[in-house]
Amino acid sequence: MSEQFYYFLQQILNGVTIGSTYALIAIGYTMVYGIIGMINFAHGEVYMLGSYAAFFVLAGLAMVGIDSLPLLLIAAFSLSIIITSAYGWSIERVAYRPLRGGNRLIPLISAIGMSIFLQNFVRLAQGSRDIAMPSLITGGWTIGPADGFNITLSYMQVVIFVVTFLSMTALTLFISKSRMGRACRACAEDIGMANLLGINTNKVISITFVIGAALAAVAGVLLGMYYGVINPYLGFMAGLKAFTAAVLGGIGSIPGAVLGGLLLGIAEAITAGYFSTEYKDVVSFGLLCFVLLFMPTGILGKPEVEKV
Amino acid sequence: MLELKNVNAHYGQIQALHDVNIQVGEGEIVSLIGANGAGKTTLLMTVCGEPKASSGEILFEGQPIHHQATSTIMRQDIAIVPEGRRIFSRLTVEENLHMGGFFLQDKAEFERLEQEVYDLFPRLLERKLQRAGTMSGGEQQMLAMGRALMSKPRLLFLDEPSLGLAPIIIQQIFDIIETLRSKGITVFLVEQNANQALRLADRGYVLENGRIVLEDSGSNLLTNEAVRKAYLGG
Repeated sequence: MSEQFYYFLQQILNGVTIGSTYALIAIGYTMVYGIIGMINFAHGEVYMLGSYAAFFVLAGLAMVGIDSLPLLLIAAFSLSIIITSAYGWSIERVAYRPLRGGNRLIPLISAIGMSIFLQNFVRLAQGSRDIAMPSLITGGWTIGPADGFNITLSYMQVVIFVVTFLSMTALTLFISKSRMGRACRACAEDIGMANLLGINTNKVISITFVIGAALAAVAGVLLGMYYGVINPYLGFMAGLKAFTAAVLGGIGSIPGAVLGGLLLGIAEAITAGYFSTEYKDVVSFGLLCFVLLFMPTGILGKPEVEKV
Repeated sequence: MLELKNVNAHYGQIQALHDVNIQVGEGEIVSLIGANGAGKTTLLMTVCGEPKASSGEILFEGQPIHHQATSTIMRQDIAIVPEGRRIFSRLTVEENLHMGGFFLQDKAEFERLEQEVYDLFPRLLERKLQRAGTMSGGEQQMLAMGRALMSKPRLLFLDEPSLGLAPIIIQQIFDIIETLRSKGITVFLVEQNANQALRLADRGYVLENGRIVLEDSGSNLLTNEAVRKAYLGG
Protein backbone atom coordinates (compact mmCIF):
# COMPACT_ATOMS: atom_id res chain seq x y z
CA MET A 1 0.00 0.00 0.00
CA SER A 2 1.12 3.46 -0.80
CA GLU A 3 2.54 5.89 1.65
CA GLN A 4 -0.25 8.40 0.99
CA PHE A 5 -2.79 5.85 2.02
CA TYR A 6 -1.01 5.13 5.30
CA TYR A 7 -0.82 8.83 5.98
CA PHE A 8 -4.51 9.24 5.27
CA LEU A 9 -5.38 6.30 7.51
CA GLN A 10 -3.36 7.85 10.31
CA GLN A 11 -5.36 11.07 10.06
CA ILE A 12 -8.62 9.13 10.17
CA LEU A 13 -7.45 7.23 13.25
CA ASN A 14 -6.49 10.46 14.99
CA GLY A 15 -9.78 12.01 13.93
CA VAL A 16 -11.87 9.16 15.25
CA THR A 17 -9.96 9.28 18.54
CA ILE A 18 -10.62 12.92 19.17
CA GLY A 19 -14.06 12.70 17.55
CA SER A 20 -15.28 10.00 19.89
CA THR A 21 -14.51 12.20 22.88
CA TYR A 22 -16.31 15.12 21.19
CA ALA A 23 -19.24 12.76 20.76
CA LEU A 24 -19.22 11.85 24.45
CA ILE A 25 -19.39 15.52 25.43
CA ALA A 26 -21.86 16.39 22.67
CA ILE A 27 -24.40 13.90 24.04
CA GLY A 28 -24.72 16.03 27.15
CA TYR A 29 -25.54 19.10 25.07
CA THR A 30 -27.98 17.30 22.86
CA MET A 31 -29.89 15.47 25.61
CA VAL A 32 -30.39 18.60 27.68
CA TYR A 33 -31.44 20.52 24.60
CA GLY A 34 -33.81 17.71 23.64
CA ILE A 35 -35.64 17.92 26.95
CA ILE A 36 -35.64 21.55 28.03
CA GLY A 37 -34.61 23.29 24.81
CA MET A 38 -31.63 24.99 26.36
CA ILE A 39 -27.92 24.95 25.58
CA ASN A 40 -26.03 24.17 28.76
CA PHE A 41 -22.98 26.31 28.15
CA ALA A 42 -21.42 25.14 31.40
CA HIS A 43 -21.17 21.60 30.01
CA GLY A 44 -17.59 22.09 28.79
CA GLU A 45 -16.61 22.95 32.35
CA VAL A 46 -18.28 19.76 33.54
CA TYR A 47 -15.91 17.88 31.26
CA MET A 48 -12.96 19.82 32.70
CA LEU A 49 -14.11 18.91 36.21
CA GLY A 50 -14.13 15.27 35.12
CA SER A 51 -10.46 15.56 34.18
CA TYR A 52 -9.58 17.16 37.51
CA ALA A 53 -11.53 14.57 39.47
CA ALA A 54 -9.61 11.80 37.72
CA PHE A 55 -6.32 13.57 38.41
CA PHE A 56 -7.05 13.72 42.12
CA VAL A 57 -8.11 10.10 42.27
CA LEU A 58 -4.93 9.01 40.49
CA ALA A 59 -2.70 11.28 42.57
CA GLY A 60 -4.36 10.10 45.77
CA LEU A 61 -3.98 6.45 44.91
CA ALA A 62 -0.37 6.99 43.88
CA MET A 63 0.28 8.56 47.25
CA VAL A 64 -0.91 5.50 49.12
CA GLY A 65 1.19 3.36 46.83
CA ILE A 66 -1.39 1.65 44.66
CA ASP A 67 0.02 0.93 41.24
CA SER A 68 -2.16 -1.78 39.75
CA LEU A 69 -3.27 -0.46 36.38
CA PRO A 70 -6.78 -1.98 36.27
CA LEU A 71 -7.48 -0.74 39.79
CA LEU A 72 -6.29 2.77 38.95
CA LEU A 73 -8.40 2.89 35.81
CA ILE A 74 -11.55 1.61 37.49
CA ALA A 75 -11.10 4.02 40.38
CA ALA A 76 -10.38 6.99 38.10
CA PHE A 77 -13.38 6.35 35.88
CA SER A 78 -15.91 5.47 38.56
CA LEU A 79 -15.00 8.21 41.04
CA SER A 80 -14.72 10.83 38.33
CA ILE A 81 -18.15 9.82 37.03
CA ILE A 82 -19.67 10.05 40.51
CA ILE A 83 -18.10 13.40 41.39
CA THR A 84 -18.81 14.97 38.00
CA SER A 85 -22.41 13.70 38.00
CA ALA A 86 -22.88 15.38 41.35
CA TYR A 87 -21.66 18.61 39.76
CA GLY A 88 -24.01 18.16 36.80
CA TRP A 89 -26.95 17.56 39.10
CA SER A 90 -26.11 20.55 41.31
CA ILE A 91 -25.61 22.90 38.36
CA GLU A 92 -29.14 22.19 37.17
CA ARG A 93 -30.57 22.57 40.67
CA VAL A 94 -28.78 25.80 41.46
CA ALA A 95 -28.53 27.64 38.16
CA TYR A 96 -31.33 26.42 35.90
CA ARG A 97 -34.27 25.00 37.80
CA PRO A 98 -35.17 28.22 39.63
CA LEU A 99 -35.31 29.99 36.27
CA ARG A 100 -37.44 27.47 34.46
CA GLY A 101 -40.74 28.61 32.99
CA GLY A 102 -39.52 32.12 32.30
CA ASN A 103 -37.86 33.62 29.26
CA ARG A 104 -35.61 31.11 27.49
CA LEU A 105 -32.76 33.59 27.33
CA ILE A 106 -32.37 33.76 31.11
CA PRO A 107 -31.14 30.19 31.75
CA LEU A 108 -28.74 30.66 28.85
CA ILE A 109 -27.17 33.66 30.57
CA SER A 110 -27.13 31.72 33.80
CA ALA A 111 -25.29 28.91 31.99
CA ILE A 112 -22.61 31.26 30.77
CA GLY A 113 -22.27 32.62 34.30
CA MET A 114 -22.01 29.10 35.65
CA SER A 115 -19.31 28.33 33.11
CA ILE A 116 -17.24 31.34 34.17
CA PHE A 117 -17.79 30.51 37.82
CA LEU A 118 -16.64 26.89 37.49
CA GLN A 119 -13.59 27.86 35.47
CA ASN A 120 -12.49 30.38 38.07
CA PHE A 121 -13.43 28.12 40.94
CA VAL A 122 -11.00 25.49 39.67
CA ARG A 123 -8.42 28.16 38.87
CA LEU A 124 -8.56 29.54 42.42
CA ALA A 125 -8.55 26.14 44.06
CA GLN A 126 -5.94 24.45 41.85
CA GLY A 127 -4.00 27.22 40.19
CA SER A 128 -4.12 28.14 36.55
CA ARG A 129 -0.99 26.30 35.44
CA ASP A 130 -1.01 23.08 33.49
CA ILE A 131 -1.04 19.99 35.65
CA ALA A 132 0.61 16.83 34.35
CA MET A 133 -1.80 13.96 34.26
CA PRO A 134 -0.12 10.59 34.83
CA SER A 135 -0.15 8.71 31.55
CA LEU A 136 -1.04 5.24 32.69
CA ILE A 137 -1.22 3.63 29.31
CA THR A 138 1.84 4.01 27.12
CA GLY A 139 3.10 2.34 24.02
CA GLY A 140 1.28 1.16 20.94
CA TRP A 141 1.55 -0.51 17.58
CA THR A 142 3.38 0.67 14.54
CA ILE A 143 2.28 -0.56 11.15
CA GLY A 144 3.92 0.19 7.85
CA PRO A 145 7.08 -0.20 5.79
CA ALA A 146 10.46 0.03 7.46
CA ASP A 147 11.63 2.99 5.39
CA GLY A 148 8.44 5.02 4.86
CA PHE A 149 5.57 6.53 6.80
CA ASN A 150 4.31 4.37 9.64
CA ILE A 151 0.88 4.32 11.19
CA THR A 152 0.98 4.64 14.95
CA LEU A 153 -1.92 3.36 16.97
CA SER A 154 -1.29 3.91 20.65
CA TYR A 155 -2.84 1.68 23.29
CA MET A 156 -4.42 4.82 24.71
CA GLN A 157 -6.26 5.36 21.44
CA VAL A 158 -7.59 1.83 21.61
CA VAL A 159 -8.75 2.46 25.16
CA ILE A 160 -10.55 5.58 23.95
CA PHE A 161 -12.34 3.62 21.21
CA VAL A 162 -13.33 0.81 23.54
CA VAL A 163 -14.48 2.99 26.44
CA THR A 164 -16.42 5.30 24.14
CA PHE A 165 -18.08 2.36 22.45
CA LEU A 166 -19.04 0.81 25.80
CA SER A 167 -20.43 4.12 27.09
CA MET A 168 -22.50 4.63 23.95
CA THR A 169 -23.84 1.10 24.13
CA ALA A 170 -24.80 1.55 27.77
CA LEU A 171 -26.53 4.83 26.96
CA THR A 172 -28.39 3.33 24.00
CA LEU A 173 -29.62 0.42 26.09
CA PHE A 174 -30.72 2.75 28.86
CA ILE A 175 -32.57 5.10 26.52
CA SER A 176 -34.23 2.46 24.38
CA LYS A 177 -35.00 -0.29 26.88
CA SER A 178 -35.34 1.04 30.41
CA ARG A 179 -38.43 2.55 31.94
CA MET A 180 -36.62 5.78 32.82
CA GLY A 181 -35.09 5.97 29.34
CA ARG A 182 -38.57 5.74 27.88
CA ALA A 183 -39.63 8.58 30.17
CA CYS A 184 -36.66 10.62 28.91
CA ARG A 185 -37.75 10.12 25.31
CA ALA A 186 -41.34 10.96 26.15
CA CYS A 187 -40.26 14.14 27.94
CA ALA A 188 -38.08 15.12 24.99
CA GLU A 189 -41.15 14.97 22.81
CA ASP A 190 -43.80 16.54 25.05
CA ILE A 191 -42.76 17.34 28.58
CA GLY A 192 -46.15 18.79 29.47
CA MET A 193 -47.90 15.58 28.50
CA ALA A 194 -45.44 13.50 30.48
CA ASN A 195 -46.32 15.68 33.43
CA LEU A 196 -50.02 15.00 32.80
CA LEU A 197 -49.25 11.28 33.08
CA GLY A 198 -48.00 11.89 36.61
CA ILE A 199 -44.32 11.84 35.71
CA ASN A 200 -42.10 13.99 37.85
CA THR A 201 -40.47 15.90 35.03
CA ASN A 202 -37.97 17.61 37.34
CA LYS A 203 -36.58 14.19 38.14
CA VAL A 204 -36.29 13.29 34.48
CA ILE A 205 -34.48 16.58 33.80
CA SER A 206 -32.07 15.87 36.66
CA ILE A 207 -31.38 12.41 35.27
CA THR A 208 -30.58 13.96 31.89
CA PHE A 209 -28.04 16.30 33.46
CA VAL A 210 -26.49 13.44 35.40
CA ILE A 211 -26.15 11.26 32.30
CA GLY A 212 -24.63 14.13 30.32
CA ALA A 213 -22.17 14.86 33.13
CA ALA A 214 -21.23 11.20 33.50
CA LEU A 215 -20.39 10.93 29.79
CA ALA A 216 -18.45 14.20 29.95
CA ALA A 217 -16.52 12.75 32.89
CA VAL A 218 -15.61 9.72 30.81
CA ALA A 219 -14.35 12.05 28.08
CA GLY A 220 -12.47 14.07 30.71
CA VAL A 221 -10.63 11.04 32.04
CA LEU A 222 -9.82 9.78 28.54
CA LEU A 223 -8.60 13.06 27.09
CA GLY A 224 -6.70 13.94 30.26
CA MET A 225 -4.70 10.75 29.94
CA TYR A 226 -4.40 11.10 26.16
CA TYR A 227 -2.97 14.62 26.20
CA GLY A 228 -1.18 14.25 29.54
CA VAL A 229 -1.93 17.80 30.72
CA ILE A 230 -5.00 19.46 32.17
CA ASN A 231 -5.79 23.05 33.06
CA PRO A 232 -8.87 24.98 34.18
CA TYR A 233 -9.50 26.38 30.70
CA LEU A 234 -9.68 23.21 28.68
CA GLY A 235 -13.43 22.98 29.08
CA PHE A 236 -14.01 26.10 27.04
CA MET A 237 -12.68 24.90 23.70
CA ALA A 238 -13.79 21.31 24.19
CA GLY A 239 -17.25 22.56 25.07
CA LEU A 240 -17.46 24.69 21.94
CA LYS A 241 -16.25 21.80 19.80
CA ALA A 242 -18.75 19.40 21.30
CA PHE A 243 -21.49 21.97 20.86
CA THR A 244 -20.48 22.26 17.20
CA ALA A 245 -20.62 18.49 16.94
CA ALA A 246 -24.11 18.42 18.45
CA VAL A 247 -25.35 21.08 16.02
CA LEU A 248 -23.65 19.38 13.07
CA GLY A 249 -25.35 16.08 13.85
CA GLY A 250 -28.69 17.72 14.60
CA ILE A 251 -29.22 19.08 18.08
CA GLY A 252 -31.62 16.97 20.13
CA SER A 253 -30.63 13.73 18.41
CA ILE A 254 -28.31 11.33 20.26
CA PRO A 255 -27.12 9.41 17.17
CA GLY A 256 -26.66 12.84 15.60
CA ALA A 257 -24.31 13.89 18.39
CA VAL A 258 -22.21 10.77 17.87
CA LEU A 259 -22.10 11.23 14.11
CA GLY A 260 -21.36 14.95 14.45
CA GLY A 261 -18.55 14.28 16.91
CA LEU A 262 -16.87 11.74 14.66
CA LEU A 263 -17.24 13.90 11.54
CA LEU A 264 -15.87 16.94 13.33
CA GLY A 265 -12.92 14.98 14.70
CA ILE A 266 -12.09 13.61 11.27
CA ALA A 267 -12.46 17.04 9.62
CA GLU A 268 -10.05 18.50 12.16
CA ALA A 269 -7.53 15.71 11.78
CA ILE A 270 -7.59 15.96 7.98
CA THR A 271 -7.07 19.72 8.19
CA ALA A 272 -4.22 19.30 10.64
CA GLY A 273 -2.68 16.55 8.57
CA TYR A 274 -2.87 18.13 5.12
CA PHE A 275 -2.90 21.87 5.75
CA SER A 276 -1.90 23.17 9.10
CA THR A 277 -2.75 22.47 12.73
CA GLU A 278 -3.53 26.15 13.23
CA TYR A 279 -6.41 25.89 10.80
CA LYS A 280 -8.29 23.07 12.46
CA ASP A 281 -10.36 25.36 14.68
CA VAL A 282 -11.12 27.55 11.68
CA VAL A 283 -12.49 24.51 9.88
CA SER A 284 -14.53 23.42 12.91
CA PHE A 285 -16.24 26.71 13.43
CA GLY A 286 -16.52 27.32 9.71
CA LEU A 287 -18.43 24.07 9.64
CA LEU A 288 -20.63 25.32 12.48
CA CYS A 289 -21.46 28.48 10.52
CA PHE A 290 -22.16 26.47 7.40
CA VAL A 291 -24.52 24.11 9.21
CA LEU A 292 -26.34 26.93 10.98
CA LEU A 293 -26.78 28.81 7.72
CA PHE A 294 -27.66 26.08 5.27
CA MET A 295 -28.96 23.13 7.28
CA PRO A 296 -29.97 24.40 10.71
CA THR A 297 -31.52 21.08 11.70
CA GLY A 298 -28.19 19.30 11.20
CA ILE A 299 -27.63 15.92 9.61
CA LEU A 300 -30.00 13.79 11.69
CA GLY A 301 -32.09 16.50 13.30
CA LYS A 302 -35.80 16.63 12.76
CA PRO A 303 -37.28 19.62 11.04
CA GLU A 304 -39.80 21.48 13.15
CA VAL A 305 -42.87 20.09 11.47
CA GLU A 306 -45.80 18.99 13.53
CA LYS A 307 -48.23 16.45 12.24
CA VAL A 308 -51.81 17.32 13.04
CA MET B 1 -66.13 12.53 43.25
CA LEU B 2 -64.85 15.77 41.73
CA GLU B 3 -66.02 19.12 42.93
CA LEU B 4 -65.09 22.62 41.81
CA LYS B 5 -66.12 25.41 44.15
CA ASN B 6 -65.97 29.02 42.92
CA VAL B 7 -62.89 28.34 40.87
CA ASN B 8 -61.17 31.26 39.16
CA ALA B 9 -58.21 30.86 36.86
CA HIS B 10 -55.96 33.28 35.01
CA TYR B 11 -53.64 33.09 32.06
CA GLY B 12 -51.26 35.93 32.86
CA GLN B 13 -53.47 38.98 33.29
CA ILE B 14 -56.46 37.48 31.54
CA GLN B 15 -59.09 35.82 33.65
CA ALA B 16 -60.14 32.61 31.92
CA LEU B 17 -62.54 31.14 34.48
CA HIS B 18 -65.03 33.01 36.66
CA ASP B 19 -66.47 31.36 39.79
CA VAL B 20 -66.92 27.98 38.23
CA ASN B 21 -68.92 25.42 40.21
CA ILE B 22 -69.05 21.86 38.93
CA GLN B 23 -69.79 18.50 40.46
CA VAL B 24 -69.05 15.12 38.98
CA GLY B 25 -70.53 12.17 40.84
CA GLU B 26 -69.11 8.66 40.93
CA GLY B 27 -70.07 6.64 37.85
CA GLU B 28 -71.51 9.62 35.98
CA ILE B 29 -70.77 10.87 32.49
CA VAL B 30 -70.75 14.64 32.72
CA SER B 31 -70.38 16.77 29.60
CA LEU B 32 -69.13 20.30 29.38
CA ILE B 33 -70.09 22.11 26.20
CA GLY B 34 -69.28 25.57 24.96
CA ALA B 35 -68.00 27.50 22.00
CA ASN B 36 -64.43 27.77 20.91
CA GLY B 37 -62.49 29.84 23.40
CA ALA B 38 -65.12 29.61 26.13
CA GLY B 39 -62.51 28.16 28.48
CA LYS B 40 -63.37 24.46 28.32
CA THR B 41 -59.80 23.27 27.98
CA THR B 42 -58.62 25.77 30.58
CA LEU B 43 -61.18 24.37 32.99
CA LEU B 44 -59.89 20.82 32.52
CA MET B 45 -56.28 21.89 32.75
CA THR B 46 -56.96 23.85 35.91
CA VAL B 47 -58.23 20.68 37.54
CA CYS B 48 -54.97 19.06 36.42
CA GLY B 49 -53.06 21.90 38.10
CA GLU B 50 -51.76 23.66 34.97
CA PRO B 51 -52.52 26.59 35.36
CA LYS B 52 -53.23 26.61 39.08
CA ALA B 53 -56.60 27.97 40.19
CA SER B 54 -56.10 31.52 41.40
CA SER B 55 -58.91 31.12 43.92
CA GLY B 56 -61.60 28.63 44.86
CA GLU B 57 -61.36 24.98 45.74
CA ILE B 58 -61.00 21.79 43.75
CA LEU B 59 -61.80 18.60 45.63
CA PHE B 60 -61.17 15.05 44.49
CA GLU B 61 -62.85 12.47 46.72
CA GLY B 62 -63.31 15.26 49.24
CA GLN B 63 -59.61 16.08 49.36
CA PRO B 64 -58.38 19.47 48.12
CA ILE B 65 -56.05 19.08 45.15
CA HIS B 66 -55.77 22.64 43.86
CA HIS B 67 -52.46 23.25 45.64
CA GLN B 68 -50.84 20.04 44.44
CA ALA B 69 -48.34 19.72 41.60
CA THR B 70 -49.68 18.37 38.32
CA SER B 71 -47.68 15.16 38.60
CA THR B 72 -49.09 14.53 42.08
CA ILE B 73 -52.68 15.15 40.98
CA MET B 74 -52.37 12.87 37.98
CA ARG B 75 -51.02 10.00 40.07
CA GLN B 76 -54.21 9.63 42.06
CA ASP B 77 -56.71 7.77 39.87
CA ILE B 78 -57.18 10.70 37.48
CA ALA B 79 -56.22 10.50 33.82
CA ILE B 80 -56.64 12.82 30.87
CA VAL B 81 -56.99 12.43 27.13
CA PRO B 82 -55.88 15.94 26.27
CA GLU B 83 -56.90 18.21 23.44
CA GLY B 84 -55.01 17.31 20.29
CA ARG B 85 -54.31 13.81 21.73
CA ARG B 86 -50.64 14.56 22.41
CA ILE B 87 -49.44 11.02 21.90
CA PHE B 88 -45.67 10.52 21.86
CA SER B 89 -45.30 10.19 18.11
CA ARG B 90 -41.70 8.97 18.09
CA LEU B 91 -42.44 6.22 20.60
CA THR B 92 -44.10 2.97 19.56
CA VAL B 93 -47.74 2.26 20.35
CA GLU B 94 -46.69 -0.15 23.06
CA GLU B 95 -44.27 2.36 24.59
CA ASN B 96 -47.01 4.99 24.66
CA LEU B 97 -49.23 2.61 26.59
CA HIS B 98 -46.40 1.82 28.97
CA MET B 99 -45.95 5.53 29.60
CA GLY B 100 -49.59 5.59 30.68
CA GLY B 101 -49.02 2.75 33.13
CA PHE B 102 -45.75 4.21 34.37
CA PHE B 103 -46.59 3.98 38.05
CA LEU B 104 -48.26 0.58 38.14
CA GLN B 105 -46.10 -1.60 40.36
CA ASP B 106 -47.97 -4.87 40.06
CA LYS B 107 -46.77 -6.63 36.92
CA ALA B 108 -49.76 -8.97 36.63
CA GLU B 109 -52.16 -6.06 36.88
CA PHE B 110 -50.14 -4.11 34.33
CA GLU B 111 -50.44 -6.95 31.84
CA ARG B 112 -54.14 -7.37 32.56
CA LEU B 113 -54.74 -3.66 31.90
CA GLU B 114 -52.69 -3.76 28.72
CA GLN B 115 -54.75 -6.72 27.53
CA GLU B 116 -57.93 -4.84 28.40
CA VAL B 117 -56.83 -1.86 26.32
CA TYR B 118 -56.00 -4.12 23.38
CA ASP B 119 -59.42 -5.77 23.72
CA LEU B 120 -61.06 -2.37 23.67
CA PHE B 121 -58.96 -1.16 20.73
CA PRO B 122 -57.87 -4.17 18.64
CA ARG B 123 -56.27 -1.79 16.14
CA LEU B 124 -53.65 -0.88 18.71
CA LEU B 125 -52.63 -4.51 19.09
CA GLU B 126 -52.13 -4.77 15.32
CA ARG B 127 -49.91 -1.70 15.45
CA LYS B 128 -48.18 -2.44 18.72
CA LEU B 129 -44.61 -1.97 17.47
CA GLN B 130 -45.35 0.85 15.04
CA ARG B 131 -44.30 4.42 15.73
CA ALA B 132 -47.37 6.18 17.05
CA GLY B 133 -46.91 9.22 14.80
CA THR B 134 -47.43 7.11 11.68
CA MET B 135 -50.99 6.18 12.59
CA SER B 136 -54.20 7.84 11.43
CA GLY B 137 -55.96 10.45 13.54
CA GLY B 138 -58.59 8.01 14.74
CA GLU B 139 -56.00 5.45 15.75
CA GLN B 140 -54.05 8.13 17.56
CA GLN B 141 -57.19 9.09 19.45
CA MET B 142 -57.64 5.46 20.46
CA LEU B 143 -54.03 5.35 21.59
CA ALA B 144 -54.47 8.49 23.67
CA MET B 145 -57.49 6.89 25.33
CA GLY B 146 -55.65 3.61 25.82
CA ARG B 147 -52.71 5.42 27.35
CA ALA B 148 -55.01 7.17 29.81
CA LEU B 149 -56.71 3.90 30.73
CA MET B 150 -53.35 2.26 31.44
CA SER B 151 -53.03 4.28 34.63
CA LYS B 152 -56.19 2.57 35.91
CA PRO B 153 -58.13 5.80 36.42
CA ARG B 154 -61.42 6.07 38.22
CA LEU B 155 -61.97 9.54 36.78
CA LEU B 156 -61.23 10.17 33.12
CA PHE B 157 -61.09 13.56 31.42
CA LEU B 158 -61.68 13.65 27.69
CA ASP B 159 -60.94 16.88 25.87
CA GLU B 160 -62.58 17.05 22.42
CA PRO B 161 -62.10 13.37 21.57
CA SER B 162 -64.08 13.78 18.34
CA LEU B 163 -62.10 16.70 16.96
CA GLY B 164 -61.02 16.23 13.38
CA LEU B 165 -62.21 12.65 13.07
CA ALA B 166 -64.48 10.98 10.50
CA PRO B 167 -68.11 10.46 11.62
CA ILE B 168 -67.75 6.68 11.73
CA ILE B 169 -64.72 6.95 14.02
CA ILE B 170 -66.51 9.50 16.20
CA GLN B 171 -69.33 6.99 16.66
CA GLN B 172 -66.79 4.36 17.74
CA ILE B 173 -65.20 6.74 20.22
CA PHE B 174 -68.56 7.60 21.78
CA ASP B 175 -69.47 3.91 21.96
CA ILE B 176 -66.27 3.28 23.85
CA ILE B 177 -67.01 6.09 26.30
CA GLU B 178 -70.30 4.31 26.98
CA THR B 179 -68.35 1.08 27.58
CA LEU B 180 -66.06 2.87 30.01
CA ARG B 181 -69.05 3.86 32.11
CA SER B 182 -70.06 0.22 32.36
CA LYS B 183 -66.54 -0.53 33.62
CA GLY B 184 -67.18 1.89 36.46
CA ILE B 185 -65.06 4.75 35.18
CA THR B 186 -66.40 8.24 35.77
CA VAL B 187 -66.12 10.41 32.68
CA PHE B 188 -65.87 14.17 32.39
CA LEU B 189 -66.25 15.00 28.73
CA VAL B 190 -65.45 18.32 27.10
CA GLU B 191 -66.90 18.65 23.63
CA GLN B 192 -67.84 21.04 20.87
CA ASN B 193 -69.87 18.26 19.36
CA ALA B 194 -72.70 19.19 21.74
CA ASN B 195 -75.32 16.92 20.27
CA GLN B 196 -73.50 13.64 20.88
CA ALA B 197 -71.89 14.80 24.08
CA LEU B 198 -75.25 15.63 25.63
CA ARG B 199 -76.96 12.49 24.40
CA LEU B 200 -74.36 10.42 26.18
CA ALA B 201 -74.23 12.49 29.34
CA ASP B 202 -76.10 12.07 32.60
CA ARG B 203 -75.61 15.75 33.25
CA GLY B 204 -74.19 18.66 31.35
CA TYR B 205 -72.79 22.12 31.87
CA VAL B 206 -72.66 24.99 29.43
CA LEU B 207 -69.64 27.25 29.60
CA GLU B 208 -69.70 30.75 28.11
CA ASN B 209 -66.82 33.21 28.40
CA GLY B 210 -65.40 31.36 31.37
CA ARG B 211 -68.71 31.21 33.25
CA ILE B 212 -71.05 28.28 33.78
CA VAL B 213 -74.35 29.57 32.41
CA LEU B 214 -76.46 26.42 32.48
CA GLU B 215 -76.51 23.15 34.32
CA ASP B 216 -79.02 20.38 33.79
CA SER B 217 -79.48 16.77 32.85
CA GLY B 218 -78.19 15.83 29.42
CA SER B 219 -81.65 15.25 27.97
CA ASN B 220 -83.00 18.54 29.31
CA LEU B 221 -80.11 20.47 27.84
CA LEU B 222 -80.71 18.78 24.49
CA THR B 223 -84.22 20.20 24.38
CA ASN B 224 -83.34 23.53 25.97
CA GLU B 225 -84.22 26.32 23.55
CA ALA B 226 -81.10 28.43 24.22
CA VAL B 227 -78.80 25.45 23.92
CA ARG B 228 -80.46 24.31 20.70
CA LYS B 229 -79.99 27.77 19.22
CA ALA B 230 -76.39 28.28 20.28
CA TYR B 231 -74.85 24.81 20.03
CA LEU B 232 -77.09 22.43 18.13
CA GLY B 233 -77.74 24.46 15.03
CA GLY B 234 -81.32 25.51 15.77
